[in-house]
Amino acid sequence: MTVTASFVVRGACEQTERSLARDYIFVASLVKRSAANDFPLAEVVRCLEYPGVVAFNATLSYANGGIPEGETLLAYPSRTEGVGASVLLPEALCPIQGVENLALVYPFFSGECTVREGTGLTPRGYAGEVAEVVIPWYLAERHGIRVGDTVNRRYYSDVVGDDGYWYIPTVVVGIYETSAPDPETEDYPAYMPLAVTELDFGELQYDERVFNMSEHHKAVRADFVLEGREAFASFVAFAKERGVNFQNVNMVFNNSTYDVLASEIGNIRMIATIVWISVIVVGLGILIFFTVYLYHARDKERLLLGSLGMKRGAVRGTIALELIVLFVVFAVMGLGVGELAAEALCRTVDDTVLARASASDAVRDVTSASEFDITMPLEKNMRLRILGRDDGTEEPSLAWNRIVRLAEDELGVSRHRLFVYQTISELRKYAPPYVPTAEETMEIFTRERTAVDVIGVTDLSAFILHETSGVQNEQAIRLYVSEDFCYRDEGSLFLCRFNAGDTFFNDVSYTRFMPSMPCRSYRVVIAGTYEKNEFCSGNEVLVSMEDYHKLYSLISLTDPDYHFHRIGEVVSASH
Amino acid sequence: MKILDLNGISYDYTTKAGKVHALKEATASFETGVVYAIVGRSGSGKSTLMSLMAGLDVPRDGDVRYRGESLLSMDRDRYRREHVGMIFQSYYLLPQLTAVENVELSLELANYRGNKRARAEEMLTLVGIRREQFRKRSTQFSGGEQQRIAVARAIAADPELILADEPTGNLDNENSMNIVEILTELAHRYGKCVIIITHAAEVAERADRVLRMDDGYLRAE
Repeated sequence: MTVTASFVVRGACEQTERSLARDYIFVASLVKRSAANDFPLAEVVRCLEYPGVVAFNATLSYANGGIPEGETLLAYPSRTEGVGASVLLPEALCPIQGVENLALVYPFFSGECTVREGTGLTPRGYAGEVAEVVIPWYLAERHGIRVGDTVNRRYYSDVVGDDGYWYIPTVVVGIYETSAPDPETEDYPAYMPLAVTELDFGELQYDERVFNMSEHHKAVRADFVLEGREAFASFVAFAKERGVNFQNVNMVFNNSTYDVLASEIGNIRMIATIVWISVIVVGLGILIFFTVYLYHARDKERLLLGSLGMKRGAVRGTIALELIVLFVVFAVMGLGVGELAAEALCRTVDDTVLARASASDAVRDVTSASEFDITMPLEKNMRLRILGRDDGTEEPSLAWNRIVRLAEDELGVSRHRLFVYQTISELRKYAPPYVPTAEETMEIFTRERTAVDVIGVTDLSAFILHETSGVQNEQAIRLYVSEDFCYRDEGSLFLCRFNAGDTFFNDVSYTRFMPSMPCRSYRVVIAGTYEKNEFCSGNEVLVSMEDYHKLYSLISLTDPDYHFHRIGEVVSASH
Repeated sequence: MKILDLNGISYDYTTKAGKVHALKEATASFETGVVYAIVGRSGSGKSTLMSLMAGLDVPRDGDVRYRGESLLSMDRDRYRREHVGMIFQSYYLLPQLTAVENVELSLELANYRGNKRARAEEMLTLVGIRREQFRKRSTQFSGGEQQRIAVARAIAADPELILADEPTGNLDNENSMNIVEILTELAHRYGKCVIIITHAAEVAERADRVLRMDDGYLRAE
């Protein structure tokens, strides 16, 4: 019984150690050292290159972003009418936070906040395909907002001008609430996908000089889910090596609770192992003693059976069989009773030692989303069980964004449709001192534009390219076109995201609400041609994934009507 | 009719004190229908002689023959199963079995082909056990009754040779006489060869012939 009990406890501890290592969310966090110093998003990107990062969350700092109160929430002009309405500018805003992973934002992680209506941010939102927002309960209740409604996110841009407020429609996909007894509402922002807020930020930083958006974006916090406890040390070393500035940021870990639990479980396992081995050794001695004793205690019986003509071997076999049956019966009984005892023991340990060891209760009691600027207690809010059953622990149900990495033989491909707004040849026609007439300008605005599908790939060397351009500007976006491409010999193109007649509400200022701003375009260099391949031909242009993301940072496409595959499909390179 | 012959058998065994010559060229013949008593003081070799006659052991020298055939060349387990019934001083009944089951056990081992239960009950009745006692556990019987059950077990398979090692050693006089009476009847009425090893004079007196073991030698009186 003791053997079984200690064995089961030992096995349960091993299983629990595995479950703990599997279910515990090992988080390393970058947090700013002082309230004033947000750190560049680029540092997050550098940390993401560490191969042991399985998921991450970054909270983007953008003080001017918000969702306005009052009529501005829903008073956006109808697209069909295209007529602007007056907009009030109340002072109070619901702040917006861009997050890579809502489930890993502390209030949601700890259970302090839960989505009560609708969903969290969706994969399409995280991918930057659609602009969606999860708003706090107080905003919904104050203005009668429901899931599916459209609200406007408002940004201020000093690039646009003194009155440069920007309003961009956003679909509410979820409303969350808090379990905090007396919540301070300003601690609870609206959450949007980081990909969308990145684009917003890129839009406001509209400047062709700005290509590396992550250097200009600031983050207030980033959490990295690592593969295991042992990855912490090497992760710090990696971050240092990659130039993360530890003068401005701290790296904190959530290993304390894990270490306490693992140590407790390890101790219990060691005790169980010692008991198991000891009892086996002692038990074997007892078993041998009783076997010999029982055998000799039956000398008379053996004599009798022998005198009755039973063969000596048969007598010994009968007695041995009886001993085996006895052993098996008692072993089975011992197993059963031992398992019951082990369960009782495990339950006791579970309810006492581990319950005390776990900091979950303390974590659960935290009610403010802002209490963890410095510390990082992102333990999974779990209650451990060390019973030796499969139902003891479960896979976490968090829908975090796992990092997708390409295999060596895979080629990342993203596609997006843009339009040729202008060519170098056309531009030369209006070169100074010539000033285009109003008719010519209108013709440019209203002309049907040539669509090009931009394809970003992770490895341009997978394609046969013929360089033609002598342009050496390192910051230029370089396209490769097909032999059939009509602007093949232009050298440069100006690309924009709208065709003539498209309405682009993103580009309106609050005073006008009208599609009056000229469509911004971006100059790209035609670096050469590619030979036909299975991924692109005709009007499809090929760019490196780096250039693809430059385009991505320069054009805001978070209108719900647009789709932008941020990550892109991953295909096997067939070259 | 001669059934068992001892032809100059000798037997030694070794103890811490040295080699013991338990039997020295013992020679004798045993016939059916006769009660033999082998008497002698303790340590004189009586029980050794019985083991050799039962085929539980083999002599160093000499030969034990059953109906003219040497036990050395026989399947001695089968010999005991089919031709020998043994009775011990301490009865050796299996305590977990009832009276009738103890008797049935010997029939089972002897591959008795008839109705074992009926045969066992018949034997128990023959030795004076009442029917209502058949299903009592053996430990619930008196010493005399247990020995009678042991006798029933010994004769159940209808052996020709009955070897009794101090069958009255644990019994009072009355029970002793009852057992001896049963054994005598088995020889005289049923034609068995009954060999009783005893140190009780009153038992030896009831035997037809008496042999004495003395310092390993077997002599007729």
